[in-house]
Amino acid sequence: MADLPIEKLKTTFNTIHAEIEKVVIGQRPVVEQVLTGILCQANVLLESYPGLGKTLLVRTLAEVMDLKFTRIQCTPDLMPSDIIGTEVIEESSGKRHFKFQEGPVFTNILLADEINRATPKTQAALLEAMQEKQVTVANETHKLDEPFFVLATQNPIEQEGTYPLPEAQTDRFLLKVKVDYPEYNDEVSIVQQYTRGEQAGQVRKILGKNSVIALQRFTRQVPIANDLIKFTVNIVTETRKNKQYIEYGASPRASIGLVLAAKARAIMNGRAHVSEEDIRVMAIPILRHRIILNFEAERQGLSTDDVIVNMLKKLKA
Amino acid sequence: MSTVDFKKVIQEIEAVRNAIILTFVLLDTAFVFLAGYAILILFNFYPILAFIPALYYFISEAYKRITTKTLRDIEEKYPALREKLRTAADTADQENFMVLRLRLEVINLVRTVAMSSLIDLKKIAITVGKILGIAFIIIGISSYNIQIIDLKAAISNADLLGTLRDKLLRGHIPDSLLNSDVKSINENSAINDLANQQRLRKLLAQEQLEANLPEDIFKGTDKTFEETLSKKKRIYIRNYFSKVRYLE
Repeated sequence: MADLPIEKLKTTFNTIHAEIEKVVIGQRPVVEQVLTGILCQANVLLESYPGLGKTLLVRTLAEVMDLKFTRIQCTPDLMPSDIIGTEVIEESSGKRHFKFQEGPVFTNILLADEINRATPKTQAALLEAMQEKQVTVANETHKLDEPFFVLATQNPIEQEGTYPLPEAQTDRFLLKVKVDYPEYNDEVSIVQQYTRGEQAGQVRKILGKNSVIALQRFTRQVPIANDLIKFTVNIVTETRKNKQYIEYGASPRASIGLVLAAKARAIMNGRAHVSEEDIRVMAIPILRHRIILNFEAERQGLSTDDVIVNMLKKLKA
Repeated sequence: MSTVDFKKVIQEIEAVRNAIILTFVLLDTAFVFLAGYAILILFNFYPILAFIPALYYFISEAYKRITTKTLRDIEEKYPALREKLRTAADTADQENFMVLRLRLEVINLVRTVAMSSLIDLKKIAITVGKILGIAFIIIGISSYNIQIIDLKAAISNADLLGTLRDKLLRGHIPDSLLNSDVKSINENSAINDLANQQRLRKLLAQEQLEANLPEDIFKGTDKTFEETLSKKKRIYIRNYFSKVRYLE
């Protein structure tokens, strides 16, 4: 990996996309953004309607990267111990002792489906594991395996009986990825593929666990020009100054996240430097869940994406 | 390539860029000097003074252009270097795998850059043309002795210093002294008379003060001077010395 030319990384990631597209048709931007989260060692929030292939996508990604994958379906009766694990009594040689049984969080890629259905206590347990990369049970700390990545999903419909994540908690997710319905032609291909009775193509392992860890390290090392850092901070501070449509702007965590995400995009495109385009492209998924629109924006029917796009048009590096 | 070596490369690039900027500023300064020279010879007023605005222009413009120009100007001329050169320059202090890769890429690209391509020949031609034009104008003005106003003559005829002297001092000192030089003023008895008069006035004032003091003020006693004096006398003495100090 140390001798790998940077330009060839673009080919590597294109190969990853090609492998995933054997199973998941379309959704390339979603895959790119999820890969960004993995490279930045951060967690991603997926907002998606049911039946758009989120689980399939993440499972395929885990296979391609040779990472362990676990899925949790969040329900209102899900307990924290169901996620992080618990101590169970085990008997051996006539003696009983407590043994820690690892929960589903002990994995590399964790898909927490419909996190907004879990109770706040369970959400907090998961978020703590995400943040600390370790869990503490019965005064004993257990480190999670590296790399560890959480993909939490939220269903924008079915809000009855849910516990939406508060803004302070959604801020901990690097990106909010919106999974849209596929294009017409893509949906035709999906229907053809999954109604034929044949199994989807086998995906090859492209990267190993150590390669993923190395790429995560290299991502943080990607250099960025000082004026681009200032441009990033300008974008985030503009969300606080723009009182026309924004009630609450993004925090400095957004500035850090945006720079990291831009670095990840640079490395995925086989570049050893961050460009202005990287920052502009990543600004939308980084900021969309960190700003709260005011009544004026809602009255005009503007979404957070619309406000961010308008704001980016006015700013120059 | 080490951090030190790469910093030298960046410094060299910036030095060449600054040299090009200074060359352009020098040419513009020459034009400013010649333009000032032309204006001053039109008004016949010490043409060499044109170097003052030219010097100011050179210093201020050189400082402004060098501090505002960035490596972006080089990147604009070479799209292959876009964002890479200034990123490498900004991270010259860092040492890691990705930074070294970028540095290597930038070095390979910079080798293909001809620094002479940064010189704007069109701009040089225009500036040289303006300098030649103004030079010919100066030659024409000097040859045909064209003047709008002869400021030098106007100033010397107006005797501005004399006028100023008249306005400030007339009525306060004799006219004979108003137009005299320093040596004759010192020898002039009127000035000496004035000095004598002032001295006499001071002496008179001092004598009058002393005449008003009580007689026993100067008598010696075996006690300290202040113990023998009444309060009234002490006040007299204090006022006397105050006035003497004032006269001096």
